[in-house]
Amino acid sequence: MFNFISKWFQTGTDSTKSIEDKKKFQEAVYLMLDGEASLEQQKFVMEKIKCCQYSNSKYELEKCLRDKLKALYCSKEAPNNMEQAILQKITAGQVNL
Amino acid sequence: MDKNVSHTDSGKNTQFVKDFMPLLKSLYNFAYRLTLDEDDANDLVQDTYMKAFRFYDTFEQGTNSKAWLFRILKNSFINEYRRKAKQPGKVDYQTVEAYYNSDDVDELITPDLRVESVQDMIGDEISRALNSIDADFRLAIILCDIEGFTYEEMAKILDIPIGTVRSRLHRARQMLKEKLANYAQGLGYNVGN
Repeated sequence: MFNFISKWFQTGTDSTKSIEDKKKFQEAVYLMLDGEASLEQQKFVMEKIKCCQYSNSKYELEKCLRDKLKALYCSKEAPNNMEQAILQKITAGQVNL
Repeated sequence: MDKNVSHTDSGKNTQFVKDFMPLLKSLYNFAYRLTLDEDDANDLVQDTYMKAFRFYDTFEQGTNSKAWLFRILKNSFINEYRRKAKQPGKVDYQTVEAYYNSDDVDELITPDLRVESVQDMIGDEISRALNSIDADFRLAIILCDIEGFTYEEMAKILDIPIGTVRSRLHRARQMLKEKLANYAQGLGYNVGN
């Protein structure tokens, strides 16, 4: 009985640790790709993606998402006449908001 | 020495154009992603430039002109354009953030989205997913992932603490991945939890 309870607690602890580890990794990946990670966090991510396939795929997914978003977002040109319209308003002194 | 801008009228115009007009495309894209409408984006950008010009004397030379301009645009969007929002059924932001900030929500909702499925997606699908997210969360993704602002700059633009920037970004990315998972499923990928 004691062994069973002991094992149950052990499993519960391991499971929680695993979830926390995943969250810690996810947070560290975000910080790293955002350019906000500490050296320790960068090291943590690099070690994880080197030795863990799951972590590696999560890291690649985040990178891929950002690349897609950047490519998508930067593609829209401002309307041709917009710059001219703004400059005209400025020079004509129409800035009376 | 006063760091604020102080110029003659023509000098002010020249300096303003030099500081801010190169940011037009970036600002227009930002406005478009917020309003989801070309005409509204056009109006919002022009309105932002006019306000920026009017308050140019308060801009501190040497500070981040892009962040300054983005902040003005964000405030204009929230104060004016949102009032006439064309977004029916908008989710209450506080409720969403509270829900997404609960401890175990990541494990419950994070789909097993794979890099291959995202690579297969076209721009429209990514765009629709991003646009379907509540504006406060969309703002966070745009400012960080696309515009490359630091957390500190984002905190200033959004008027929130850095800790909130981080948690909002985290939740925004979760939301985006959920939306993308739906598209991935449509493409035949298994995205079970």
